[in-house]
Amino acid sequence: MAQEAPAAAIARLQRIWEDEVRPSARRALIALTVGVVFGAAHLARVGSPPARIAAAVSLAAILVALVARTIVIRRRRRDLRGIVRGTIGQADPELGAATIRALSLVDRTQSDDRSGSPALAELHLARLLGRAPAERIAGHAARSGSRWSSAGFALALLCGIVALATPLRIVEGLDVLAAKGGTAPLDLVWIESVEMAVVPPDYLHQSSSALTPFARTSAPRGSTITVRGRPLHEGRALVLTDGKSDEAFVDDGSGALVARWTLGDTTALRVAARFGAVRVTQADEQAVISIPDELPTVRVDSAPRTVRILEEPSVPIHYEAVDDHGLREVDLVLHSGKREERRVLSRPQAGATIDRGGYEIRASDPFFKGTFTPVEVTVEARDNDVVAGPKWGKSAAILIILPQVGEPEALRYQALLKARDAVTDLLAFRLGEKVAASGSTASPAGAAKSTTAEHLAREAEKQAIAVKAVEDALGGTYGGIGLRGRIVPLMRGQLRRLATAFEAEKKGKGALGELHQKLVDETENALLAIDIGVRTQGVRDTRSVAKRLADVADESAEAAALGASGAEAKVPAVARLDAAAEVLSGGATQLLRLGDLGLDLGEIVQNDLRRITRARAANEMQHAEFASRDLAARLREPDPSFSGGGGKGGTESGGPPSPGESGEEASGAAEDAAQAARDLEDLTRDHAAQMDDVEDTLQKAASPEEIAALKEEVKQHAEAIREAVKKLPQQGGDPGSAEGSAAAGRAAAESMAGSLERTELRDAVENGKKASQALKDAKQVGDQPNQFSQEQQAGREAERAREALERELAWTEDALEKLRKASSANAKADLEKASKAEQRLAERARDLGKKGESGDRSLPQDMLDRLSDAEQSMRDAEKALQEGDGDRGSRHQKEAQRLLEMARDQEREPDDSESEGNRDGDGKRQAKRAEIPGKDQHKRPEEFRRRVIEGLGGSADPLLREAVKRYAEGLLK
Amino acid sequence: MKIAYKTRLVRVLAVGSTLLAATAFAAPPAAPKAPVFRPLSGDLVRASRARDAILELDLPAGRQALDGVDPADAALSVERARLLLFSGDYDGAVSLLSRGDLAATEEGAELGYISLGCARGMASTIREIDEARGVDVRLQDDDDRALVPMLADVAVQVQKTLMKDLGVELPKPLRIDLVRDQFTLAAMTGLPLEAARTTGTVAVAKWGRVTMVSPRAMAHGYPWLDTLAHEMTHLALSRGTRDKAPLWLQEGVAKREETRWREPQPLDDVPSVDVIAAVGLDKGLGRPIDKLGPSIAMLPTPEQAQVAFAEVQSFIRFWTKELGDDALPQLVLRIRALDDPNDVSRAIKEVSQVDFAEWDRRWRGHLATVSRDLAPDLTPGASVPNMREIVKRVRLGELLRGREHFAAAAGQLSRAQAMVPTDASIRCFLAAALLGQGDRAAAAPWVETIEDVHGRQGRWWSLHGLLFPDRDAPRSFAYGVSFDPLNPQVACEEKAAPALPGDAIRASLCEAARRIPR
Repeated sequence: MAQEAPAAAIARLQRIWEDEVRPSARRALIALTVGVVFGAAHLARVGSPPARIAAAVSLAAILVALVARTIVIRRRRRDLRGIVRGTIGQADPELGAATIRALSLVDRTQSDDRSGSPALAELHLARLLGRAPAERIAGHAARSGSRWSSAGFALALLCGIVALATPLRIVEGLDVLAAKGGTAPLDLVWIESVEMAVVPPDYLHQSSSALTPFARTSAPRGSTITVRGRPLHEGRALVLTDGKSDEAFVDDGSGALVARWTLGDTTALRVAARFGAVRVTQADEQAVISIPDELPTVRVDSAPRTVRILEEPSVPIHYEAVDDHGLREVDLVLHSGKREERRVLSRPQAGATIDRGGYEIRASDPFFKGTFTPVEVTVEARDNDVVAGPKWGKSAAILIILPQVGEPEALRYQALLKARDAVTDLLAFRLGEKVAASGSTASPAGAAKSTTAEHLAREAEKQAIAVKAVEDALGGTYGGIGLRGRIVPLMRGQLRRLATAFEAEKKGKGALGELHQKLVDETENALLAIDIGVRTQGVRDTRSVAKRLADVADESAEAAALGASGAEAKVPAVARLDAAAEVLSGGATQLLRLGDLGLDLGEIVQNDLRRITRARAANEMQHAEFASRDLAARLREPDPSFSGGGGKGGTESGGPPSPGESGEEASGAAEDAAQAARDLEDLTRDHAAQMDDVEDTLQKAASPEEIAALKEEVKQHAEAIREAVKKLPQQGGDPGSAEGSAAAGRAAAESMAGSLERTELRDAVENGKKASQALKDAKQVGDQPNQFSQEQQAGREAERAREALERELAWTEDALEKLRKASSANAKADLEKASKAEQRLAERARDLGKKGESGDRSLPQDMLDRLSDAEQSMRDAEKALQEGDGDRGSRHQKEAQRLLEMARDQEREPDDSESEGNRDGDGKRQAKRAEIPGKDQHKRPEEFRRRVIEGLGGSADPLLREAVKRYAEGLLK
Repeated sequence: MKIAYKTRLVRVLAVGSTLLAATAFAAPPAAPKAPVFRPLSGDLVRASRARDAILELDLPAGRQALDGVDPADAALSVERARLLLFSGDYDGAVSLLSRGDLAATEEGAELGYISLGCARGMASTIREIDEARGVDVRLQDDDDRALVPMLADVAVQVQKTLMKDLGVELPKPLRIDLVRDQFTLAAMTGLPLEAARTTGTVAVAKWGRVTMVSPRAMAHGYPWLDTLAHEMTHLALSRGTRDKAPLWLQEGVAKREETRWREPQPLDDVPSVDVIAAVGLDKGLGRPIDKLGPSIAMLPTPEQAQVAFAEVQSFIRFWTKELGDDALPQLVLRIRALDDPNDVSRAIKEVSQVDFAEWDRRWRGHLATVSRDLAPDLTPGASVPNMREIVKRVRLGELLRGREHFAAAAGQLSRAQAMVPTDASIRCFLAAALLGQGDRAAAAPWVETIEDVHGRQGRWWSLHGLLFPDRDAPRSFAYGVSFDPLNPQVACEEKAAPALPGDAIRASLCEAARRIPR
């Protein structure tokens, strides 16, 4: 047989080997690969990033291994020595080694001629290959193939078992492994028999409803969406998800799972299984459109607009606030610079979606004090959104431009000057009337009559002009302020003086010339009295304005100090400084219009402002501060620039006084008015003390036997009172709540019981009335709809207690009456003494009235009437006390006291804080157009009613207070 | 003058005020405690030398004494602050005295209080420096600038007079701070405000300068130019005597000098100071002239202040009349040389061979011979009869005049004038009302003869100048301005706007007066 070529022989040997081994090895490798994939899927199913990375790495590794193996095999096929070692070497190691050497020889002879003949070498190789034991090689290959087959089978068996046991886990694992962005690509089905329901948030007070699963729907923001279903696979952590956050399904106890989702924004919900950080979703999607809670809308009539408070001293604010679900609170917001103040206008009842109301901002509003920049006024409403948090809706703004500091006072002063000028003109007219000089009624009868009539007509006409001017000044409002204090009775008193004097001339008998001269004299004195009143007002206003400007100067100093302190704070400091300068400039202009002192101080402010401005321009902030502080200190001493030394400057100190410039006043009207006010104050106080003395006398005058008898009785009644109120709360909630009123009622009732036990019947009656009123209030509040149960309970208890209390109160009043009557008899001597004291007080009242009838001390007619009536009541009291009728005497005393207080209040000077005029205490009141809220709506109406009742009940006439209050209560019910 | 009120008192007030200011910013308010000061430490001898130089207004010598001193030396630092204060550098003084170690000393606290008052009062004010005439004027109110030329003129004349009368040359520049009110006057000088308001103080010479209230502070002005002369005299005496002159001498000489810089004017001695002193002493309003207290400005009533001024002026007039004009320069030199400032009597004896007690006895003897005949409206402490009625008529007259009811106004003012015929202001009101009516002839008699009136009134002179143009009207207008420079009628020589006086200085004064009519 011819020798086979070596290459072909080696290829043949290799084929023998591969034919036996390769199929088995391939099957084994396939089984291994499948096993690795299964393992990686399980690892990836853990879901954590490390696990998923590890799984991915293992898959990649097996892939790389397979590729590498293919390359190796291909290389081996070209490696003849390797083939020889793997085939011949396995079957006959010696032959294998010889064959390899022969191969080497062939290689050497082919590259090196000196190594021998290539042909011989190849022949030698061919012979060796020809000796290769094919059967033995095939046997070896068969054994190797068998081992591969066994391994492959084992692996395939294992994979098969795993695949059969947990097929879904492998799918889940691979799905998880392939997840992107936390979501697996392959949707799986997790639950079946799905049911859905939606529950709107509590504050909307809407009922829940079922949803068609996975059908697009909408729901209010904050709703709870409930998803219920049966799980298809155990052991999965199922969640309801919008792709960003999850709500876990929990066992509902009946084999189903349930999850609740609180709706925020519009979303699409899906069921998913959670594998670590990866969700494998179910294909079904529940789209839910979220309906948001809208911002409340607030509308204010005629806003936006700009108001100059000087021209419109009261600014009515009528608002309407609307919300889609409910309003919680409506506030008035005042904003100026860095200052902001919120005032609660209304706290609507739960569920109210609309609120209307009114408010009136007045020039005297406390917020405006110390505010010099424009004020932005808005109404803001807050809704009841508990899901996204309460939201405020805001109205358009009303911008209020405040007057310059002192501008209202300056306007008022100018009006007073006009009034004074009118009276001056009247005097000039009267001085110029020739009738006074020409004489008397002795003129020819017809002509004299005609002259007199004409004269009187002219007098009446001129006087009417002057009176009107004064009345106009007194009744005017100047940037929200009016006139009050002593100047009012002073000027009205002088008007009465003029009227009386004119009447005297008109009706007087005797020479017309004399009568007219008397009228002139009275007019002169009235003019001087009005003049001093006006100038006193000017000084008072100047001082008040100066003190306010001092605060502005302080602000200027602070700003300058800030500016001097460092460059960083300089910009706002300069702005503050400029703002203060503007206010000072305006204030100085107004000061100049406020009389002599105003002129003096106004000039100083203007000049110091120039200093401040100069320093500011030169960037010398310390000098600006110094000048500002100097000005502030000066304005806090709002006295004339020069005084002393007889009113005139000498060479170094004051010179000799001159009557023409002595500073002495031409009229004592201001002093007299002040003295009259003091006298009236003293009388009112002394009379109040006298009234108390009579009351005490009556109480203490009861006999010991009467007191002893009464004591036994009162104990029982005191017990009854305590028993009646024992169920009432001891400490209440908010004032104005039923609980609060009930607690106040209980406290007052217990005080009543205590007073009774001490046999202080008058106090007991007082406390009893207070308690009854408080309990009545508690009942009214408790009866309001939508009240909490505690409030309703407190109202009911209060009503029960009040019924018992009223009985005790009636008994106490009766006992007091009896005791008083008995006491009057016992206290006769003391009452007689009190009668004398009352008589003295009546004399004082008479003197006061007498002095006020004429001259510089002239008082207005209504004050004189009150004093006269008070005197009469005192006389009646005196008489009753003299007769030993303490009870009647006491009643007359009360009447007299009431009249005295009314007269006194008319004269009272506003204190410094009120010096800007008759501004309301808090500067607010309900607008006329404001709607009156329903009595059952919410607490704000209650406050409104209280204010109305208090306001009307605080009528000027104390006697009418109770009646007016009852009337107001009736109206408002 | 106010220079002589005791430094101790000022210190107490200053310290008290400082503490009050401090407690105003501190919380919570505590019961006031007496201040506890640290003693001043350092080179006390050198500090004393510097202080003497400064008080003598020899600021270059003071500066030299303090040149190159250790800034940490408290005593010398206080003197440096004093030097700054006397030099008009108020900010510098405040800055230096804000040091804790200085503020903790009595001297430092006192100077700190004054310096702060000055710095605040004069911050960013107008400053007019007339180098040629050696005057440095600070004006708290810009509109007072129109007064400066006249102040400077007077200052030059007074300096010359003082050189002649006292032998003292005031250093240049003369510093004048013209303030807007008594409030600032008090803050810048340490004079208690209440005292200023009681006695009607208008000027103080202290801290090396004259501090004057602007005539605009008063409705009818005051003799402001004489006041400048008066206060300059105080400075001269302080310089000449090394601040050893007693109060009576200071005030007496200042009263003497306040009119000697100019030609005599009518009413310069109306009422006569001898008579006022005599009547005042008779009525118990006077005091021994060497026991006037810390300052005449701090006397309890204006009447007592008036009598005290009259006493010291009368005494100096008597003394100089007896000894001649050379006596005063001699006395100044003798006092300067005294070791003990309380030994002025010895200096007097050296000059006149007679001690103070003897001069006092002689002067009182002289007063005993003086007639007590004094019009009621000039008598210290006396009330003018029918005052209420007079005031009433004047006020009615003014109200009516304000409404241009001139005839009615004149009627009222005539009634007032009849009750007090010598009152210049009522005559002015009456004349103005009559002029308003257009009746010059009726108006003229009321401002015709100065001897008919008792009080010096700027308006009287301007009306006189208007109605009697041929009787040296320019002089009348000048007199008017010397009393009431910012009254528009006076400053504008009774010309209606927009007419101005011919003289440029007066024209500028007129414009300033018209800016805010009073």
